[in-house]
Amino acid sequence: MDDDPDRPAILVSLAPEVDERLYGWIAVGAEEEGIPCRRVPPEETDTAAIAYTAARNSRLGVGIGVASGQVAVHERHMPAERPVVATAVEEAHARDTCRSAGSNAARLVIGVPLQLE
Amino acid sequence: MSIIVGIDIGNSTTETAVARIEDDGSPEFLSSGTTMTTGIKGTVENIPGIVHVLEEATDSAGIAIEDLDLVLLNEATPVIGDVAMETVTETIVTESSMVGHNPGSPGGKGIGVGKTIHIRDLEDGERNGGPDEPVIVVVPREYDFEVAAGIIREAVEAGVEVQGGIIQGDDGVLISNRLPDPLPFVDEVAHVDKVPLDMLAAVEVAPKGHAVRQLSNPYGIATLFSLSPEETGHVIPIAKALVGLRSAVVIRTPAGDVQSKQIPAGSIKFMGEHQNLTVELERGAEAIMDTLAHVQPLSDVQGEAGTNVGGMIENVRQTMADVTEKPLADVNIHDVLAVDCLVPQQVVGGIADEFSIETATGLAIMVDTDRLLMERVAETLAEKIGVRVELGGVEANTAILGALTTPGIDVPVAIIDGGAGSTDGAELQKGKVVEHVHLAGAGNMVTLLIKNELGLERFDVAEQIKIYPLAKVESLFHIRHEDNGVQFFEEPLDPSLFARVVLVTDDGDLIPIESKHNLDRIKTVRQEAKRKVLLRNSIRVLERISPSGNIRFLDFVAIVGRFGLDFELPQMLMNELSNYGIVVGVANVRGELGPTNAVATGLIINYCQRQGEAK
Repeated sequence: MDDDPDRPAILVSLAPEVDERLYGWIAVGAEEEGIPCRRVPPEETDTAAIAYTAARNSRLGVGIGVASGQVAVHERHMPAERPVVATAVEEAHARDTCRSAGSNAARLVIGVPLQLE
Repeated sequence: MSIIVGIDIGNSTTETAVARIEDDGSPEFLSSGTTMTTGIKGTVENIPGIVHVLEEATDSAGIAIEDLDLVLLNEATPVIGDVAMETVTETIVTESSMVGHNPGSPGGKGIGVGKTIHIRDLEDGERNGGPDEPVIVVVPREYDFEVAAGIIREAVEAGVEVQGGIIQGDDGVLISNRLPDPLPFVDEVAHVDKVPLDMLAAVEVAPKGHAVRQLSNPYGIATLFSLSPEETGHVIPIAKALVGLRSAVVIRTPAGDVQSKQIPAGSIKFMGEHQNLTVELERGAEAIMDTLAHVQPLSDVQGEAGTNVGGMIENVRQTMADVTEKPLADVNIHDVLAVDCLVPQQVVGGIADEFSIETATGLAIMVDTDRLLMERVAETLAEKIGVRVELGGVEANTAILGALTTPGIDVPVAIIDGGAGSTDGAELQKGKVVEHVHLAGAGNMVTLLIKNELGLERFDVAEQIKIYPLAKVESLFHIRHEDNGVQFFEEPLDPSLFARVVLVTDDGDLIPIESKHNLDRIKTVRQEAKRKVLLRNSIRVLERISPSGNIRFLDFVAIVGRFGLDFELPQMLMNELSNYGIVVGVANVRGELGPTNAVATGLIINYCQRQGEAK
């Protein structure tokens, strides 16, 4: 993992109480599509708000926020309160949900149709 | 003074015109209407549609159906068409020996050759061959990418020459990234359990933006597997099926074989009034249409019994016999349009649901019906609505009368009247009999071609592709139309549309197309289908109605019917016909209805002319 803040990447921000493994699964989803991502600390508490800030700060304009049992993929031009995709993270499917969020974030960058439920 | 109605029952729509006939015998048009035709054209199932459109049109004219004095129907629509398509080749894999497909993201790149080995055996170190023998690892979905990458890494470090892999899940990139040196991995191979183990296999992943080169080249496969010239001949179908793919696997099994099988397509016998000629279907559309041209005028067509084409033709004949309640032997085929196309077909026995492109022939076939049918519709309608119903003139001739209400038009003029089932034409010259012709193949044939060439499951999707222009959703806020124009949206688009190819409806709605084809491919298929059917039939129509058979002798051509409503066909026709020095344009019936309602309007004008002559 490289931490150069200038390198273009999808920014991923997890609320403090969130399971660390979720980041790993998100990163794998982005990696399969060939786009790097980087962990950043959250500035808000609301999932959409965290994701929006991440997207605004990302040089690729795409961010992911995880908080309160939800993962949100955001894009910098979207209205702050409307993430592109927001999915509940359920214990049983956490891995697939996170991998798919990472994959969709990368797809927003490279212009490939999203995988939606 | 009386009020009369003209009704035109088409294969797809039923149109009507309501007019008051003034005391001097001239018509004053009150209203018009359009609705979908119910049932097959020319059958009593048409009545509900007719009644519906009558109610609509009389309503908007401010009268009731009982106020009508006379209803005129288009006369014995002399033809009904149907379309059929069959592939003439098929690719069969016996003893699965190839995988070629286009997963979204295969891993690594390059070519690897080795014996197939299950990852379980790689882990156990129980390989059958010696340790120096290169291997291709087969990874089922149960193996997580971290685990799989770990096993492969250890094997590589232990000196096993792993050359590449075949993976069931979507993990190719992830596994490749976790190895010291990236290797080619083909992923999303659905039936990985069907991959034979301990067989020599080659894996190729092309760099991004490229297609496989070695495995799509027969000599390339021969080089990798040290094949004899005779064996090289057998791999041609494999190489052909892999052309244009980003990743592929070829497995050499001793008994394995891929065949490109020729399905007996059969022959068509054209029976003309002067001579009979037979042509093999596999000679292609061009040869079929040439043969047909030689036997004109055509009295019937037969397909070779027990073959594809025999089945296609007899099916149409049977359908029409059922509809018309005529004995099978009395249903004569009046015209045939043959079109070549390439259709994706699932490879029989493939491992990753592969498709190969096979040749197919589509036929539009037209049979004669008779006046009796339409008379029955007229009688039933008269009983139903309590108004006198008459047959009011041959369709093509009334269409030309309707077209003549277009501002700026004059005789001599030819019309092309294209709808869903047939392409009709007529020619009107001052003081001369009007020539008219009905040919097989129109809008429905185009839809069928689009459906098959793009491998779509649903007819209605193909229909939409035919009538709406394409666009690509480039961001959450803008789309690029097929003509490269960009449209911006203030409200973000639905994320499910992102990066998709969509159709733009007349209301500006975006309909995503569920297909892997890109915009250019869909556009090409659509335009080629229109060229092969609509353009070709328009030329055939003009050749047949032109007094000398030479299109150049025509001066003015007006397009009526649904052809005129198509968003690109009028321009395509204009480009094509300008080569012949012909003025061609879309009719504007009564100066306000565009290309529609020509027959319904013409029925009323024809009636007025007949009344005038009678006086």
